[in-house]
Amino acid sequence: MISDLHAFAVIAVISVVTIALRVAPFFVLGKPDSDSQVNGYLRYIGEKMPTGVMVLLVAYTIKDLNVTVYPYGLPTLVSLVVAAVLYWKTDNSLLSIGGGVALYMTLVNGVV
Amino acid sequence: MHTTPPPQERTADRHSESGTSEAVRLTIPVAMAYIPLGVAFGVLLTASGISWYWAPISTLLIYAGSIEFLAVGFMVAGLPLYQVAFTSLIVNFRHIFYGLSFPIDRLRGRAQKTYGVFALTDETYGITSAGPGMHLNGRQITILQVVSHVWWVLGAVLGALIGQVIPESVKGFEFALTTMFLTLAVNAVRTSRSARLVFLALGAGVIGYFVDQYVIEESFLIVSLLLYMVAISWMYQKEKKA
Repeated sequence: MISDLHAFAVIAVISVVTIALRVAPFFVLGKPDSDSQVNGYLRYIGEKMPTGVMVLLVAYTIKDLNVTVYPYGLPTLVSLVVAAVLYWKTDNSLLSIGGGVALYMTLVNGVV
Repeated sequence: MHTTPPPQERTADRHSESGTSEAVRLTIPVAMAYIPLGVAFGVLLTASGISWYWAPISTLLIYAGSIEFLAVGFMVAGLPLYQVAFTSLIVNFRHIFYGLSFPIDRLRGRAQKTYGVFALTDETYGITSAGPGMHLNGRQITILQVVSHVWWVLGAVLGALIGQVIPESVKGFEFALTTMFLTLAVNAVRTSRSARLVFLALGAGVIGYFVDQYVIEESFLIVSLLLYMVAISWMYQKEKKA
């Protein structure tokens, strides 16, 4: 069981950081049309960040996968490819997430 | 003299009534995303061994999607709080831009303004600042944000209850996290159209992986995200000079 104290601490920290980010532009950043150096840099980072962050978050969720022992990470990799193809073709995130999870859970609970 | 209310007041009343229903109607697509996601979050939370009441607490205090799913993993892994803070900063960084175009001047009073900024999610921002809700007045914006928030909390509570009746031997809910980030990654790649960013991220990920496995336990996110930030900052420097 996870301790209530750590659970609360994690939630509180995330909450405060998220609020700080949403409040920040009202204090830190200038008007959208002002072209200060800081603004330029932050905008560039904001534009280039999501791609890397999301790729790294996918990697984070599967980093402890052990591909050297049975079933060699195959349920994860197969489900990931199926979910990616589903999303790429249909653009429907619920279908892709639901389909990927259903396949993965079938594989780990019923097949391997 | 004034036995009947002045005509403009009556019109305002009629407006505010239809105004409420319009704001609620605009939350339907939000509900279609928030409720299933909230359910998935609640199931993941209880299936990971976290008490069900953290689902409503968490969704009330953190009104943001992906980081909330990560929070479950952080609790399970016992991730140090400085890493929790750093990861939230990076993952939610995009929110720093939302305030710039959010119509905050339509919100009255401190409480309404504070909630408006607190509840500036991807979806409520998109609708009120760049979508079908751009013309909403302050009251309608608040209704839209509150009702969307309610969908999110309800979904999570429902999921937490479902999660409690699922036998512990059933594994694999955490895969929802992987697939959710996968769809977000596909979106991001489509927008940026940049293979270079993907390669930079994979490079940062490989280094982060080795540090995580052989040097500092549970350091994957902070190491790989920092490396990626350094890499794109360097790209910025180069492009500025060019």
